[in-house]
Amino acid sequence: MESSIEQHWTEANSEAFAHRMAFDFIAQIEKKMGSLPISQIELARRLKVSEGAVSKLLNNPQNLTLRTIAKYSRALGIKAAIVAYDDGDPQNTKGPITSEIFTTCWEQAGRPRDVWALDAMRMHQSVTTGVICIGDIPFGPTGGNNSQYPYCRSFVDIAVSGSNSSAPVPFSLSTIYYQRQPEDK
Amino acid sequence: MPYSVIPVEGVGGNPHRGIAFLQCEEEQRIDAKKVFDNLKEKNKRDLLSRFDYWLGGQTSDKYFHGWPNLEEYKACFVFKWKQAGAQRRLYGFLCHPRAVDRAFQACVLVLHSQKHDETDFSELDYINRVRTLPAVVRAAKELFG
Repeated sequence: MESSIEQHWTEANSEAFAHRMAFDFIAQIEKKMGSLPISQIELARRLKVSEGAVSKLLNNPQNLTLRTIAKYSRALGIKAAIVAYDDGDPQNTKGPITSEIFTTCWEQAGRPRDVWALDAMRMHQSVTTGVICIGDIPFGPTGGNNSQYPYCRSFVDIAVSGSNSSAPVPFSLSTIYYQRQPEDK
Repeated sequence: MPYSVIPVEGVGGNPHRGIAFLQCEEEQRIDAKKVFDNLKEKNKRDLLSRFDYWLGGQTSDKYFHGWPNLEEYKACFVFKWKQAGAQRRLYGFLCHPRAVDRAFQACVLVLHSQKHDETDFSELDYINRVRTLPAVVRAAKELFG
């Protein structure tokens, strides 16, 4: 397809780009309404507006304001953010990234609430995906052998040893400790 | 009859999906592009947003869907929008036009319809007849292949 060299339709003017942003927001609102589930009538009740007003906004979101975004999000018990990003496409040949992609990435990153939580997540991800060293002690990836410290089967074993949960947990280097595995005693 | 498959301008495509209109001057029922071109700017953006959404791999039965549970119609697809209280539809079909990349999926839009209560399956029957025509299959391969 040669269309990859043409500009995306949202590049026509700012109204077009804003329309697409509004569509993205409404798509998220409708998905949330479906998952709760909550009807348009109930949403209208929570917002103290008529059902017709809700229906009109869901079908004609082009005049969405920040205040409306805030009202609808809070009425559904969720929050909204304005995200500016550089996707390496200054000519806008590929169009905007769908909001759901950002949400999914944030959820997959463990829903970090601040920079420290994000750093902890990054640390966790780096040690679970590659070979690392603490001081002069090398650790291999999960399942690898380490002749110098055979009881350390992997860094992942160590990383989760302080947790009662089977799910990965955020941690920092200062909280890491390791235990001998029963078969190595 | 001479069929051509032409891309939807401004939405591009990606390594996974593409979208286009089927055209045939001699077949009046194939009117998806004509209807789309004549939409008001606001309605056109509504549809383009839906195309973007589908191209991006998102799911939403409110904006588009196929009939994966109906064997006879599982290649059919529809994009939906509301306009002045009416439920408007663009019907088309899904296909895999790349011989060396069978995972690539294209949606070829064929006709416009205004839905009333239930889906008119005669329209999907028409889509099924058109999508298997060798000239249509060839036209899709020419664009996406």
